[in-house]
Amino acid sequence: MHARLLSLLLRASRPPLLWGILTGAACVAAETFIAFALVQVAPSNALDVVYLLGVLVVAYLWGMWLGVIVAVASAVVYDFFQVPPLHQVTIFSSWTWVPLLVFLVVGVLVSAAAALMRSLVVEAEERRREADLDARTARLLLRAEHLRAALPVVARRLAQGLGLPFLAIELGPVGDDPRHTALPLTDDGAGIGTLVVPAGLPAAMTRRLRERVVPSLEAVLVAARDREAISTALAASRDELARIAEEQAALRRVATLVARGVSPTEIFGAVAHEMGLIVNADHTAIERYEPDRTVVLVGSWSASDRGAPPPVGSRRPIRESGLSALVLWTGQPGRMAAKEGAAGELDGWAGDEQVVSAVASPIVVEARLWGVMIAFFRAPEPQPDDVEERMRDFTELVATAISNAEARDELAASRARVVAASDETRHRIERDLHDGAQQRLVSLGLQLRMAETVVPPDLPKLKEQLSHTAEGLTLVLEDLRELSRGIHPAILSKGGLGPALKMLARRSAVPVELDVRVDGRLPERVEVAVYYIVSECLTNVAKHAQASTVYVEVEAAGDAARVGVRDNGKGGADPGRGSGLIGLIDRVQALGGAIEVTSPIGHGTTLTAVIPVGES
Amino acid sequence: MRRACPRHLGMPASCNDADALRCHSEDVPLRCLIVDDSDHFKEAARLLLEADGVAVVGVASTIAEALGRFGELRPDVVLVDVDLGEENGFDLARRLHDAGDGEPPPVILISTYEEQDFAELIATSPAVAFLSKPHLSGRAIDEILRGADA
Repeated sequence: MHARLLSLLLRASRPPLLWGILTGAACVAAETFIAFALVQVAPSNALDVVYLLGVLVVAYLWGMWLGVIVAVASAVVYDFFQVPPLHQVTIFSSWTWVPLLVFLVVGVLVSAAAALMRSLVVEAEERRREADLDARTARLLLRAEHLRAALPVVARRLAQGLGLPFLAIELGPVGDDPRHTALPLTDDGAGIGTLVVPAGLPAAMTRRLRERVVPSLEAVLVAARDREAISTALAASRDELARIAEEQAALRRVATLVARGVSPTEIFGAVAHEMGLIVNADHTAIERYEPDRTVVLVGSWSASDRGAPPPVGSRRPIRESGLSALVLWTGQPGRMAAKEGAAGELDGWAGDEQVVSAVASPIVVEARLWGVMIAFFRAPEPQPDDVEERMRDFTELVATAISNAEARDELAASRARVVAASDETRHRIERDLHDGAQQRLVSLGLQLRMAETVVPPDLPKLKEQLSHTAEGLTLVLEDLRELSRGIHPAILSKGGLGPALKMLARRSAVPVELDVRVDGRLPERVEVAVYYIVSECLTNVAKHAQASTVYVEVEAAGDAARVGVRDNGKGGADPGRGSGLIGLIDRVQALGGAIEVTSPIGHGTTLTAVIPVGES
Repeated sequence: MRRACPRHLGMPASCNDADALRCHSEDVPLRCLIVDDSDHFKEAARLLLEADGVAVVGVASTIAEALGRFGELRPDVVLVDVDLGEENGFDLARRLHDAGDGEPPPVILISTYEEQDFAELIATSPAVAFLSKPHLSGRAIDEILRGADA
């Protein structure tokens, strides 16, 4: 009831005029009856106020003019029924017209006030609806992921809210046509869109559209557009962040490999893969420039299984028109379309794979152009400008890996040289001792003995002296031999590992079960290393292990010599403790080998070493 | 020294060291070839052995030289130094053993090293014995050869 009354009061359009006339008549009749009832308790000349109620109602609902008519009618009826002389219209015949005129003037003013109030109420309601509509529009537009997709929904709601049969919001300019009116939407003079409404709308609606709908729509559209731009920028920066994170993760994975010092071959493979994914390439290749104007493929990757690239390690001449040549000449990153020459890369393989373009980045190791990394793309559209930049991070890692590997190789080579030089020196000292001092002493001994035989029998003292000296000489020789043995085992150079290890086994304090499977001779550095490993182990076993047997196995097969020394002693040996063992580890590592000691308490000690034989 | 031979015991007449050595019936000195790369030693050994009655018929420093000398001289015994500089006395012992058209000559390996330093190599060598250089003497050679003949 309350809601219906409210909706009646807030209705913008007026009820039909007939209803107004009837309501006016009914009001006047009802008021006359009320006046008759009230005349018993109130002075009759105050009862004209009762008639103002009808005027108010009719003027509010049907407008001022009908209100004025009701006021005139009320004045006549009041005069007829309440103003003496009763039952006759006296307005023109006596002084009673004065209060009637006052009533009439009040009636007209009430009508005007009611009509004004109504228009204000209606307008307030209209504004409220518009505010609601604006809020809804703003909500719809500002919440929408994509402005363009939200516009039809907003237009429909707006049409409903404004009571229009049709309404459209376009983001571009729209020309007028006979059926539609286009209202431009602007932001600081710049067109941001068009509001399209049916042609021939009432002037009030057109004004309302122009004055209120268009400005608010403009404000919301600008805000929505800004919001969309911000969202897009946010999404783009989020994507960019994700991409950077992905790239950083890939770089970190490669960097970890580099830091772990895995072989360059493995790094090349990993980089080719990671870089391929990061720059969205279809294939990637890493090539090394050779001094003879060839390149060697050192790593490659393909996004799909089909069309495997040429095998890693393959070599081919540099093509003058190719991308590898371009990078070699310029020392700078470069890109090339297939038709410009990139198709010929990798011996035409790139062309076979429908590669459309390729981007290459130089690999510079310590200021020296080492190689090139190439990404191949099948996609017809040009690659983004930053591909080279992104490849550079990977090439830098590759360069670091190569530089590290070279430094490592140099270090290993220098360690090997140090070990070899030390071995060489010891060998030489041993030889010098043998060929020089020892031989001389032996010869002297022989001469002394000869002298001894020719001493006349009547000089026994001299003979005794000579004999004594010869014995002393023999002792010196024995000391020298012992010294020589410690410096370098002569049997190793003379007879190789088999006899040398047998000698060690024979001399060992703990019984040795020896199994040597070595055909022929190994490089001296390997023989020396194996000899010292076994020698040191046997010494350690005798000193610490409390073992009853040592098992020594030495095998040279393929490209490595393997040594295993195992005892059945008490175990619990700490490899870090004995300086002799550390020396062995250094020696084996210098030869590029590996050594491992396990010594569980109560289960003996096992040492295994693998030493690459390689070329001597 | 005469050629030591157990079949002719009790014939010491011309031996220098008659008490110790038993000599060959014909009184022919034992003919010896010394192979060593040390000139000092070769000289000292020659003097010593000559004094002991061993005829040092030749000396050599290398395997090639030794094989040549051996072909020419056909010595009764060859003293081979284990260490011949870059070359190896064990190799020479084997080649001498394999070379002869007739019976291979007795080879005695000599060295400034001790026998135990090369025990494994000596054991597999066709040489009849190892003699440490400080212990070299006509008598020691004689004992070895008699041991080998027996």
